[in-house]
Amino acid sequence: MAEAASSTIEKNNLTLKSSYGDEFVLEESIAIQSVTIKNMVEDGCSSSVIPLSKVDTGTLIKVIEYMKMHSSTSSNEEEIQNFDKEFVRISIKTILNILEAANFLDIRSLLDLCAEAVANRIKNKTPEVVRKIFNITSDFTPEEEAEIRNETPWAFEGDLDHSLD
Amino acid sequence: MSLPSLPFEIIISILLLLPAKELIKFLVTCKSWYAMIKDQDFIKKHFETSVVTGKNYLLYVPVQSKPEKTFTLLNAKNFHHESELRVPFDLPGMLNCIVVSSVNGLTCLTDISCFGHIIYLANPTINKYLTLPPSNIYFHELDLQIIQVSLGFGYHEKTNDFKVVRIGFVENDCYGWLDEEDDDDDEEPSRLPHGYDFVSRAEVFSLNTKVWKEVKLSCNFSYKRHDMFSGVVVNECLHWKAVKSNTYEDEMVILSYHLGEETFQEFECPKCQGEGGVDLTECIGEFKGKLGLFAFCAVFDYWFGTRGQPCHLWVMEEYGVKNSWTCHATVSLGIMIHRPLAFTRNGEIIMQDRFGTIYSYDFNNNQLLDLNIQSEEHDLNFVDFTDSLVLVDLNDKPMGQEGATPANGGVDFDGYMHMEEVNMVDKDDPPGDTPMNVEK
Repeated sequence: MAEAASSTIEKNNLTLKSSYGDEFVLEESIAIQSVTIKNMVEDGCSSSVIPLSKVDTGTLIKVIEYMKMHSSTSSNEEEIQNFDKEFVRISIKTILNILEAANFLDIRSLLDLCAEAVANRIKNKTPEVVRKIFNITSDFTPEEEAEIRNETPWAFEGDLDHSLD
Repeated sequence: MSLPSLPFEIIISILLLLPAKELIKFLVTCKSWYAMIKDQDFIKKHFETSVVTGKNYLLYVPVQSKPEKTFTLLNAKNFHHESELRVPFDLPGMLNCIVVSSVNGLTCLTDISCFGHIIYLANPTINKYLTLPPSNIYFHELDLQIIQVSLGFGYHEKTNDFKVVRIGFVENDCYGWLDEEDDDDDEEPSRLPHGYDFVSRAEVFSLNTKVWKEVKLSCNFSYKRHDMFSGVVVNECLHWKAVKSNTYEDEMVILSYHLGEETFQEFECPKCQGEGGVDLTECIGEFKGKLGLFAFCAVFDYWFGTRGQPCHLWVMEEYGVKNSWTCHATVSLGIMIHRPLAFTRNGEIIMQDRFGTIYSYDFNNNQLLDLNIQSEEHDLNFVDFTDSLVLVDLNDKPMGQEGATPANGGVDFDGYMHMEEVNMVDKDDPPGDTPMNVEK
């Protein structure tokens, strides 16, 4: 039964709606890289517009760009690798937004790509900067913080990066 | 506490990809990060991720006369020099440390001058180490001199535990040697421990319980020769090569210790013989998840000249099944192999030639590579090494200060040392409080 349906699925289009109300039409075969969308399609919600209330327009454009590239049969492995490399050359905040969307949409490979990009970017940064990036307020008292730092002074040696991006 | 805007599972997936040193720096970020980085499940996932994402290295431990020792990290793929790691404690006056093995970033070390007596578990990446408590069954360093000690170190995944195995072997001719020694040593009869019953005994230290526990051995547990140390873990078992003395001829066997069931077993080895029936030298290791045996002729290597002696790689295809030993490859490398040093994770064998040059041989593509390391010394090791947070939950000690106390207290070249001087370096277990009676 699944096989019989697949030929029609390929030609179907889906409409994804961002939190700002912008709508994007996408081939179903591309969109179902998202496990969340795939489940919706299988549950019979494919005919209507899929509202993505947690994904803003800018982020959705990036996610669609990613899904299109990764479902393309014409691009080889090297092209995809280069695409991925370029794809994450954006601000950390934007990557974090994409991460959140990828988490919600359940796109494993995009999650892994963005998590790795963020990890690479926060390496060598100070804890203060990392708090700002992740929107964290320290709940340690200054004394507690000093004590933790004093235990491992070697971890704070070298030129740490104070920039937000 | 302010909640991060990102779901915590995303934060975890990012942090898992960071090197251990970065995570130590980010402990101060907030309480939830602190708790997570020190969480046992996170630590386990982190080293598992390190292995998968290629944060593994080959640790090269050269001979060093300085009290502070360093390891050299080589890239596991191309053997390029990556960085230096300092052993997180000093060994003042000691000859050299031997790396018993390293698994998931935790490295088991002992010293040549008191082999198997003082044992450290160290994670040099994050400057943490633990000195193991005294033995429960050997009360004196002398015990460990009379008998032959073998060490083993491995990780048991099912229980997420690291275990050190120490076996005190009584060798076949030990009694004769002892009598002789006794006669020479008349002025110092007290050096021999009283009431010592001279049977092979074994004990196991578990990082989870932090105590030694004796393991029952069968009464005929005796070997003529055996590997001094091993980290060869296959199928949840640690392995040592050993030689049994039978009535007619010596027989090489593999001794195994199950890290979960805590039992010893013995396997037969394949019958390897070189050209013209010469004896071969063998070393065991893990080859692609299976038990491997590398055999070559070390004694008559000059016979073979520049073509190099032929060497053989045997693999035990089905664990524990003697008939499944298969000769995987027979090659002549064109070098005079002096001794093999290690099997790597990637299916290579590291070896040293007669002139001290270190090579790796890759059984996947039959490539011999000169690692550009020259050492005529015997006491050098190569072990796999992984970036890891293991021991992050141990209380910190400043590098090379209080941490060096046990080693300082332990050095005594009269060969006489009291166990009481060796203490745990864990603040949670104050020195002297080490339990002597261990739960079964």
